[in-house]
Amino acid sequence: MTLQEEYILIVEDDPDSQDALAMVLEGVGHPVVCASNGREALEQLHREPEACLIMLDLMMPEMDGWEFRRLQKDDPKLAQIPTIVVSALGDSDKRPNGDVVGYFTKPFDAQKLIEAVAKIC
Amino acid sequence: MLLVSRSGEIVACNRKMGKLIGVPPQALRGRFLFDLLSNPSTVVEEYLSACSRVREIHPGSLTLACPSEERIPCGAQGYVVEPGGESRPALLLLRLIPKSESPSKFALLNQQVDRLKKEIMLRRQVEETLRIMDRRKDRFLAMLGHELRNPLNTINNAVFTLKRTGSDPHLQERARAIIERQVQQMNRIICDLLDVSRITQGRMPLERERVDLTQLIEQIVEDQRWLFDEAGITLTHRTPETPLRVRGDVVRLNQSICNLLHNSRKFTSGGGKVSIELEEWEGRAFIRVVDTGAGIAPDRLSALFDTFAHEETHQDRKHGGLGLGLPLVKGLVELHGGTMELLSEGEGKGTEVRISLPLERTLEES
Repeated sequence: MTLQEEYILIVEDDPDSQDALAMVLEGVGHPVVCASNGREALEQLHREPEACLIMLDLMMPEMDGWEFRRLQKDDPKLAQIPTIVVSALGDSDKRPNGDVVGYFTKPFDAQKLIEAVAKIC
Repeated sequence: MLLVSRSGEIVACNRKMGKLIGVPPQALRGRFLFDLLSNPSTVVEEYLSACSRVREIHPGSLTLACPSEERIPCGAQGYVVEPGGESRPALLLLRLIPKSESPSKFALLNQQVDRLKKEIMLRRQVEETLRIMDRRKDRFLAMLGHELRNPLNTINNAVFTLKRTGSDPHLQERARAIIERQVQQMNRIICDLLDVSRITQGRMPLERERVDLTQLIEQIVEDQRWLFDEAGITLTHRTPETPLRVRGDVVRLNQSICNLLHNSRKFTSGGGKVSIELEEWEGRAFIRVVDTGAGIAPDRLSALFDTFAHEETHQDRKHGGLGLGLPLVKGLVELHGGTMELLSEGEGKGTEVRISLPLERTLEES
């Protein structure tokens, strides 16, 4: 991937889940980078801040999605990057507080996800 | 048996009481207890007062004075059936049992009442336990749904790609392999769940045979080494030079050991270490699986053996999972007559699992 090309960052700890989602997004032409937890995601974003969208899982080891969100929002360089949460958690009271641009409960309709992503990237 | 007010007025009495005194029951209504007893009225008053205060069965001794002038010493049991209010006195139930009757009858009544009280308390405890279990089951089912949604979602996405990729063989193979692995994952979750359920209900049959634990562990380590290498975790093992035999179900023993290694791998980061050791001591085989991984907080140790107690703590949230592994392994080990212990000095300080199994004693050693 060249410098300063916009990409979608997938933050998901399960390798197969990462890969399957990456294939869906790459299949419609989006460059994708994967991170296995919140910490790796922050490192990636600091290296290459040109992410047009973050696809964020919640339950991950080392740094989960809630903590990542908190740190992302505290960092002015990263706070404005749109984030869609993708999680198996159905309870709305466990979702991160406000202002994610979308919430997809697994298993989700991949076509609907593509359409939502197309409005952002 | 008499129903009397706190003031001693007889409100009701049963036929047996009437027969004992030699007066029709209805004739006793409205009369006063003091008139029926030969005890001084101060004694009777004190007894009634004690019954009202104590609020549970209060024993005593009272003597009936019958119209025939017969005196019948009785054991008394009085208790408040209705506490009094501003405008009405308390109501007391009074049992009078002649001491000449089977002396054990009095004791028997006491025992029956005690037993009833214990049963009521036990029932309340059982109800509370059932309520807790019910809430845990609901949480467990919610987590089960969550755990199955992850592989379902991945399969869904892979199928979506398969439909769109046309004839690109690399993408197709990638998607196919994902589907296969995720189906296996779902199968594992469901099988573990069914196994735990069977063990809980005592319906897990074991196919027992002579199993050499030395050979079993060495085989498992050889099969699993690549998984640890891939994760950057150092796997070591120490086994005796001779066979160490138990009488057990090789499939279930295999399952148990693999489960423990899987847990260690899951909770240990790259650069960490996992070791599995087997030794004999005092007629038992001891298996230790030790890792340098995430460790367990002291207040979670016992809950980890409980299928339904998997709380959504910070640690559980990070690692997900149903928490079936440990209860399952413990159940299987105990079915083999073994014991299992879980030790950890705390979060970030690694975990040790210790299993002991009885050795098969045989007269013929090859």
